[in-house]
Amino acid sequence: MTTSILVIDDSMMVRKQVANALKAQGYVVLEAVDGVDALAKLEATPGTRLIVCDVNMPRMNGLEFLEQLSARKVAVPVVMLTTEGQPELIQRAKALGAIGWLVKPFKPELLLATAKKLAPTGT
Amino acid sequence: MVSAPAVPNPVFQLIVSQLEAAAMELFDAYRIAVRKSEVARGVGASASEPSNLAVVGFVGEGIRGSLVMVARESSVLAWLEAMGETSADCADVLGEFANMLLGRLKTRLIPEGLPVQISTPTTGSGNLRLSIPPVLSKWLVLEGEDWELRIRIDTTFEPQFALRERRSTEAAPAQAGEAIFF
Repeated sequence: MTTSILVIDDSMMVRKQVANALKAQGYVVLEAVDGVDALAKLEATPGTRLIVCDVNMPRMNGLEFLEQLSARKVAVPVVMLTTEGQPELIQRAKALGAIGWLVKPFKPELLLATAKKLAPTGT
Repeated sequence: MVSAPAVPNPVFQLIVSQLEAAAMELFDAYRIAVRKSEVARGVGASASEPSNLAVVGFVGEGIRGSLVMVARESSVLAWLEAMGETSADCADVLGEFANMLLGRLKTRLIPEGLPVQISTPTTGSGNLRLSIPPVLSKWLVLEGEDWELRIRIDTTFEPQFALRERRSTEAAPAQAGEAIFF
């Protein structure tokens, strides 16, 4: 059984880096360019086990996306992956239901450990 | 109405010095050898080679500005090679580097009493000519063995600008590479 992870970032470079790290460990990776795209992908692809989400994005940013997930009662764990380190933003993401905050450039081993813990492959 | 900078240059100099440190740190994080250069020499560029450009805006109380990055395609490709990447959209890569650089600068400015918000990057490519606008502006040139990057920071201070007093109870900003779990 495959385990799907949704990666949301407006940068193709970041999506590719994250996807490459996760695919090498057997994950199926879906990509979205912003929050609006991500909501559509989630609806079209049920069974996503983890979401890795940027904060600063056009159309719908990462915090607005968290609000939308909460409003739609979507219970997929979300880890934020961003250049931002501002405590107020981190606290806001936590309050909106995010379970972690990684600051770019990310350490692949840290991301993989997070993925393995929250969404073990083959489950 | 915005007038000539009411705040003396030291604040802008602080921004520039933090920008330089953040830029060096960013390339170090990707293990890309980098040094500061006093002049843009056109490393690795042919006259016909297009440049890529990325702009990210920032705004705070009484301050606004932008970060501009300009690099030839060959320079971006040199970074990608150093990062072990085989292919990518050069404008997208430059946009993400600009985003990460301004994110790092933002983190460094918070403890200095200068919190700002940043926009998403806008990118483009072509034969670019940039003029210096009538605001505080500074070019920074970085280079590696076979690449060159020009970074410009433009800042406008409004009359009411003042550095914010930092409260000792405030949490420190999260640093690059850091992971926080709730």
